[in-house]
Amino acid sequence: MQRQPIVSMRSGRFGRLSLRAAAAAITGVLSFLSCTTVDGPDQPPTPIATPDRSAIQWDAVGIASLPIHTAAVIADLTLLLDGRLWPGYTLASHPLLVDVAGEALYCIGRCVAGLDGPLRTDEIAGRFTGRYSFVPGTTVGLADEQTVLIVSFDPNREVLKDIVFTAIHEGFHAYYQADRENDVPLEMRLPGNAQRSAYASRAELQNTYTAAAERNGFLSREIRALAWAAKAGAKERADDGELRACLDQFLELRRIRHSELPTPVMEEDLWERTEGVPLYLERKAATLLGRSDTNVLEQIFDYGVVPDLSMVPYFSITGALEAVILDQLTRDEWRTWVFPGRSGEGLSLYDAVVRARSSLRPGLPVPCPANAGAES
Amino acid sequence: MNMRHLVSLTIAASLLVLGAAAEPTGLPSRVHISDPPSRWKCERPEEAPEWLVAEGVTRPPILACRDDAGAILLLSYTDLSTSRTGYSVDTLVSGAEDQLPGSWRVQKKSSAFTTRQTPSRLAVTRVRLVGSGNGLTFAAGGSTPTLVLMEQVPLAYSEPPSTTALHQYILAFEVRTSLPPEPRRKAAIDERERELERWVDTLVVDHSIALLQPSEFEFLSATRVGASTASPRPAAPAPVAPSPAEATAKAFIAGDSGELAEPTARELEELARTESTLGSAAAETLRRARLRAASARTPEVWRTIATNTPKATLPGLVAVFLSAALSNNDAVTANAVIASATESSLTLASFSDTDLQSILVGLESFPGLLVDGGGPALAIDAARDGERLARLLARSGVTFIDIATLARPIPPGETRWKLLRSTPANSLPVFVRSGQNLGRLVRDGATARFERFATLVDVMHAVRAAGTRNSAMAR
Repeated sequence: MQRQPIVSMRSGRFGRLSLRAAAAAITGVLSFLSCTTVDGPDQPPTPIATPDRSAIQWDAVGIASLPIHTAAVIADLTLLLDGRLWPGYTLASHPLLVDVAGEALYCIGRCVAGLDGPLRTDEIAGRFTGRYSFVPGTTVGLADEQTVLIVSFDPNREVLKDIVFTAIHEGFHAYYQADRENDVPLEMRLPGNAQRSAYASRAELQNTYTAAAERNGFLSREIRALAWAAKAGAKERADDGELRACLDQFLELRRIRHSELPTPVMEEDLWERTEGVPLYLERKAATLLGRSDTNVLEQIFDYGVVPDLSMVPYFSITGALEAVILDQLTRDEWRTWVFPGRSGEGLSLYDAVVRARSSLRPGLPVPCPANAGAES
Repeated sequence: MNMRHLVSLTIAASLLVLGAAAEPTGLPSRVHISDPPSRWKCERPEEAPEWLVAEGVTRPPILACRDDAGAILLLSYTDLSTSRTGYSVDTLVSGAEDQLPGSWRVQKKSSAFTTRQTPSRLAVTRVRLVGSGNGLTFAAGGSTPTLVLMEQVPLAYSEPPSTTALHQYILAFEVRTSLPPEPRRKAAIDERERELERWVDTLVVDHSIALLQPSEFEFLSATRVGASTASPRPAAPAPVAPSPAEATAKAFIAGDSGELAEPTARELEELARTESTLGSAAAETLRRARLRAASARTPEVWRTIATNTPKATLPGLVAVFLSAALSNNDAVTANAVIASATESSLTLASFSDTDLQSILVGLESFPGLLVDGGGPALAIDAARDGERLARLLARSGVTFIDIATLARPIPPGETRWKLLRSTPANSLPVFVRSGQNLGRLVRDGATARFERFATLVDVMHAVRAAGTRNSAMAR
C-alpha cells in the first residue's frame, strides 16, 4: 500500500499564512541553531552563551535557610507553580532559578533528580545582569542541558511581589508555551534573522500598527468593549445580556479594523496568545496569593482607563482580557482549545472567544455601555 | 624509637599492602622501616587478621598492633590521588563531623573523649585534635578513627598548579582500648590521651617521603607573598601571628559549634571553592553549620511567612509545604509548618480538596513525622469532615463502611463487635464511619474493637499499616 504523505489540515487564522510561515520556519530553525544570544524581556527560551559555571554545587535546604524576603518569594512561587495556577505549568520537570543579587542563586522545583523543594547554591550570585536569562541547565550546575529560566532581583530595590509575577509570566513562556507553540515560526521572534522581514515584528505591531489615530481609536474601543464584557461576566450573577452585547461590539470593532486597516492578522493572533495568557496569569496569581493585582488589567477594570498603547502592547491587553472572558464563559475548557498539546493546532484567543460567544444563549438585545458616546 | 620511623614504616607497609594495582605511582620508593614505639606488637597483614575481623574490621590495615593489655592500634591508608573531591575521607572517617586542619603539634583537643564498644568489649576511642604547624592536617572525630593525618599543605597556600602531582592520602590512627570498670576508666582514658598526644608531639616524617618538611612549608609561604628564593631556607621559628592553617582551624571549630561569624563563614567559603580535600571538608562544615542554623530558625521563619500571608492563601501554602516536607522526610520543617497553621487557627475545614489531597500525599510518605499527630490543624471532626474525607480517601483506595447502613445496623455508640466466623483475617482493618466517628476496626481476639481516628495522621498510619499487611498477604 502506497503511503500518502501526511498533510495536516490547517484551519482558522493561523492557516492563512501557513505557506509563508512554513518557508520561513526552515531558515528559522537554522538560525535558531546558530544563535548564540537572545536576551531581554519576553523572548523565547533560547540558550545564551554563558561562562563556565560547572563548579556550582547545589545544596538542598529548607525554606528557613533563606533570608526572609527570599523565603517569601520562593514560598509564593512554589505555591503557584504547584499546578494551581495553570494545570501542567509546574516545576516538576522545569526548575526555576531565582538569582538574588548579592546573596545566592536559588533553584526551586525538581532541581536534582528525585528531590523536590527549594535549593540554594553555595556560591554568591550577582552574575546574571539581565532581569531574565535563559541558560542551559549545565551552565548553572544542573544535571542536564534543558534550558532554565533565571529571574534576577535585587531585594533592596525591587518589589517582591512584582518579581513573583514576572517569574510567573516569563516562566510560562519558557516552560509551557515553548513546548506548545509549534505553529509559531521561530524567525518571527529571533532578532537578526534574515527571514524576519516576512513578518511584522512585535515592535512593529506595537508601534507602527498603533501609531495612527484611527487605529489607536479602534484598539482603545476594542479594549473597552472587552473590559466591559469581562466586568459583566464577573458579576455574581453574570449579566449575560451586557456580556453578549459587549462581546459582539468587540468582535465587530475588530472585524472593521481588520477590513479597513490592513493588519498582520497572524502576527496579532500569535502575540495576543503569547503575551495575553501570561498577563492574565499574573492577575490570576495575584488572586491566588490574595494580593492586589498591580498589572495593567486592574487599571482598566477599576478605572476604565486604557493605557498609552505606545507604552503597553495592545495585544497583551486584549489577549489577557480575552483570557479572562474565556475563563468566565468556559471555565477551564478554553485552555485546551488554545493549547491542545500534541493533538493539533490551537485556536487563537480571538477564535476561542468567537467559539465561546456562540454558546451563549440568545436573549433580549441590550446596549454595551463600553463605548457609549464614542465615535465608531 | 620515635614516630618518624613509625610513619616511614607505615608508608612502606602501605606500598606492600596495596600491591601493584593500587600502588600510587608518585610515592617515593626509598623508605625506612623500624619498629613502632613502646609496647605495641605489630604486623603488616595482607588480609585483616582474624582477631581484627572479630572486631569488625575486614579491610587490612597497613599496620595492626596489639599490646599486652588487649588494646589495638590500627594504622590505615587511603589514597586520594584519584579522588577529585576527597569524599573518601568520609569513607574512612565514617561519619566524622570535623576535618580539622593542623600540624605536628597538638594545640587543642576537645574535652569530650567518647568511646564505643566492640563485640569483645574493646573500646573504640575518639578524641578531637586541633593542630598547627607545617601543614599536615590532623582530623579526628567520627565514630571510628582516633586520629587522621592528611597531607594537604598546598591547599592553605593558594594551591599551586603542581599540587595535582602531589600525593593525597590519609593516614589514620585508630586506638581501641579495653577499658577497665568505671572507677578506673577515667584514668585509663586519660592515659590513652596522653599517649596519643605524646605520639603526635614526637611525630616526624622522613624527608624522603611525600609529606612536606617545615623548610618547604616556609618556602611555599614565601613564594606566595612574592619573595623569590632559589632554595628552601632553613626552618624558621614558628610565626607568632596565627598562620593560615590556624585561622582555618578556628574556622572549622566555629563551623562545628554552629557559631559562624561573618569573617569565619567567608574563610570557609573561600576554602570550599578550592577543589581539594580540605575544600570538600570546608563545604561540608559550612553546609552542616547552615543546616543547624536553619533548623533553629525554621519555626520563626514559618511564623513570619504565615503572618504575612493573606488568610485565604495560607491553607494552600501550608498544604504545599507540609506535603513537600513530609515527602522529603523533613520533620523540622513539617512541624514548623503545622505549628504556623495551628497558630493561624487552621483546621481541616480550612483546606480545599486540592490542599487536603496534597497533605494526604505527603502523609502517605512519612506519617510519623508530625508531633502530636499534627495537632488541631489536622484533627478530624467526623461530623464536619467525615463525608469529604471519605470521598478524598477513596482515591487512595480507602473505603469507609457506614455501619449504620448495614443490613444489621450496629448501634453507633458500640465500640466492640463480635467478628463473624466468615470474616477473613485480611479484611481488617475495615474503615468505618460510625455515627459521629471515623475510625477502623482492629481485630482483638475474637472481637473487633473500634479505634477512632483523631487526626489525619491516624488515618494515614492505618492506611500504611493496611497496605503493608495486604502486600504481605499478597506475597
